[in-house]
Amino acid sequence: MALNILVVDDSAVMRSMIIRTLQMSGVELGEVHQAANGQEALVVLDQHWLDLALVDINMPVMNGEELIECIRQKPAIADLPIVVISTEGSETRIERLQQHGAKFVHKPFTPETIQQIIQSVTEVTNGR
Amino acid sequence: MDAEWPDRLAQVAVESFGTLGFMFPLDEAEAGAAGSLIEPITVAVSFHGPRTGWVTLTAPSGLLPILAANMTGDDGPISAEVQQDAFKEMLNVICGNLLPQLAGAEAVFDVGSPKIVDGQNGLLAVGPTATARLLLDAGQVDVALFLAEVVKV
Repeated sequence: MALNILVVDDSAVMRSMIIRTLQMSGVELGEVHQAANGQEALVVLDQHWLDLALVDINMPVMNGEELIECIRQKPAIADLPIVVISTEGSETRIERLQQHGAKFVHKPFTPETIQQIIQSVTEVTNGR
Repeated sequence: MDAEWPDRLAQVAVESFGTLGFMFPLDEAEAGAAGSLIEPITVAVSFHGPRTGWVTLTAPSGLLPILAANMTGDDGPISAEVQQDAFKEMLNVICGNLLPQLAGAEAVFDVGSPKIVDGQNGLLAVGPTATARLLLDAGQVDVALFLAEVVKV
């Protein structure tokens, strides 16, 4: 099953890097959408059916934590699998995100880490 | 601030540049000719929490297009905006990985947006708490940690 994915990060370079990592990881990709902050992400989520969101934490306008809280309160997308990809090092904040059902990948990351976490979140095995 | 901080700064920076930027430290024999900061550019990011301060990253401007190309995988010309974005994101990663070492894994910090700064704006006149110099295959990089009670970036 090809995954429709939303990448949310205020750095265009990091979005590009995450998408390149996804392409290298062997995960079958469908549509890949991008947003530079939580507010832009909510617009994309209103317009497209997505299988997974990869979300940064520190962003202007609406940060990743606020975005995840919004997503969990919207019945249509409340169950969306979310992976936080961030430099965040606070266990307190990471636990808070995990309580919202989000997985966590720490930057810097490797393609293998991204592949493993996506497979665990979406239960995709790519036929292997 | 203990004497291990320069090593900690260097360790975090080396890991970040290696994993994200595919830039690696030179060995001692190669490093002699690499140590220069031609047309240096500095980016700074502030943090607030149990400790307050900022981290800066300085590199020759010629390193930025290489870093951006490595991070994005683009072979073609890369705009100045994207080059700076890559440099800022590298600092963001370095700062995020340093903070737990400053105040423990439980501590919560608010991290600002990285900004390009110059030596004339007062930020760099304060004097760093710790510094580290990396001699990477793409050029020299300086990382500095500043701790302060009040930060005006």
